[in-house]
Amino acid sequence: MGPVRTHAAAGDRPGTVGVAPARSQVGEGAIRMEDESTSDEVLLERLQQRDVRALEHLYDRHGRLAYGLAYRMLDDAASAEDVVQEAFLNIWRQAPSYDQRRGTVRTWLLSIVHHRAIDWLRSRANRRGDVHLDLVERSLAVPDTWHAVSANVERDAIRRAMAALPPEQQRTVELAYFAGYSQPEIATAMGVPLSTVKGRMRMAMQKLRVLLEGTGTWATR
Amino acid sequence: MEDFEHDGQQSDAADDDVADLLPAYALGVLSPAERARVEAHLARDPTSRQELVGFATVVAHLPLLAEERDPPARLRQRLITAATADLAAPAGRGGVRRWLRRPRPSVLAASILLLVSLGLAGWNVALQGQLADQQRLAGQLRTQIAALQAQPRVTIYTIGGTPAAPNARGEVVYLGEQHTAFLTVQNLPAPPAGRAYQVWYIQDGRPIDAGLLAAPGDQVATRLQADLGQYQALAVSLEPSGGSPQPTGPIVLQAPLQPGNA
Repeated sequence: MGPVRTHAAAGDRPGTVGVAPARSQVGEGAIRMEDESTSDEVLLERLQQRDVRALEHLYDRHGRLAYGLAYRMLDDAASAEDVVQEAFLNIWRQAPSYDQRRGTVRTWLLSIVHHRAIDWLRSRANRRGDVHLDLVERSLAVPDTWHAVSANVERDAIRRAMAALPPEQQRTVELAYFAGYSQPEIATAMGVPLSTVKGRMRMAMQKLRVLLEGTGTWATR
Repeated sequence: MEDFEHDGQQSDAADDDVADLLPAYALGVLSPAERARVEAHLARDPTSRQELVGFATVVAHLPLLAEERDPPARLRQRLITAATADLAAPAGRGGVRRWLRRPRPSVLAASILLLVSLGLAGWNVALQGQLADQQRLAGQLRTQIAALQAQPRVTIYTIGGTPAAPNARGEVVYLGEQHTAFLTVQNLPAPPAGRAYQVWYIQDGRPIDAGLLAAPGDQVATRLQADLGQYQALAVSLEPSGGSPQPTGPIVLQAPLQPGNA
């Protein structure tokens, strides 16, 4: 906060509070310069120390992808904005109890965006509760896919891999991941038996894994 | 059920069935019941756990199929404001959060909310003199109100003028967990010489002194330290300067402190 002058309230008497203009707590230019050289791991440590600037850095780094994912799933700017805000706040609130061995911050963040967006799509009445770590655990217990290569390489790799799938398998994965359809819902949407959906989904995921393994984006540690 | 558990063939078939759910599990589209079945299966089958790692790693790549998009510029500030407000909130709340009622923003109320969000931790609420450029700030502040939805138990009550001050109006921004409220008033004439406005809590029809109202012309808010939940109403009356033990002058503003007014 800026310069402060106070009127101390005497006893139980009410005090008076002047209304100050808003001001940024930190210089944004400095944030972005520092951001370039600060790893996600360091940012998470600072989140754990309740450093709001670390959240700003994280947002500047991953906000566009998080918003892009939410927008792709929801096709609605206002809802996507809410989902992204909730996801970052979720990270902020749960960071102190987060163990980095569970996965990267980015994977964690995008998992929360995904869960939030699916909740939104399903219009769950109580969707506003924080996404508990346990719910995203399956997405976190993975090797660090984000560090070894740049996001651009990874993006190219997953797009090429998806393009290599038969259209019906692509559609199956897209309906599940981006639309949040259950397997029975996919069966209805595509007019095929449930067993066909299960088979397509398994085949698609296995092929994607093999294709990604061959690209070098499948980092291990 | 017992037969099922001891029947090797049926158990194998059930495991195969559950294993078919692994891709959907990784994609996050199973029902809670299906998810529980998969997790029980994973607990006893290391091969499936290994397979799941592969599927989950595929899923970790899928967000990259979405095009990056620029979020609205206001989102960044909303997020930071809400996170800062979180710092001030007591730790260890339950999983169900209470949400700010949708505010009816006035410039002053919005300014107070912003101040609260930035400075609540030590109650060193900044005093920066008069609000120099209200109009310029209004839009920015209003967008930041939405971010304060993360602030628990913030309630805004409207307060209206009586026939003694028909154009007066105001708002009470109440922070329930801090038992602190800010009262802002607009269009209330300056009190005559030797007189002052005094605030009262009303409890069971009985007025309780809440102190003097900050001079309306100063563009300030009056801070009230009380658990508003125990009062039915709030009122402002014209009294001798320095205050009165009991209300003597006309009531100029009043508001019920009821859910319907929040």
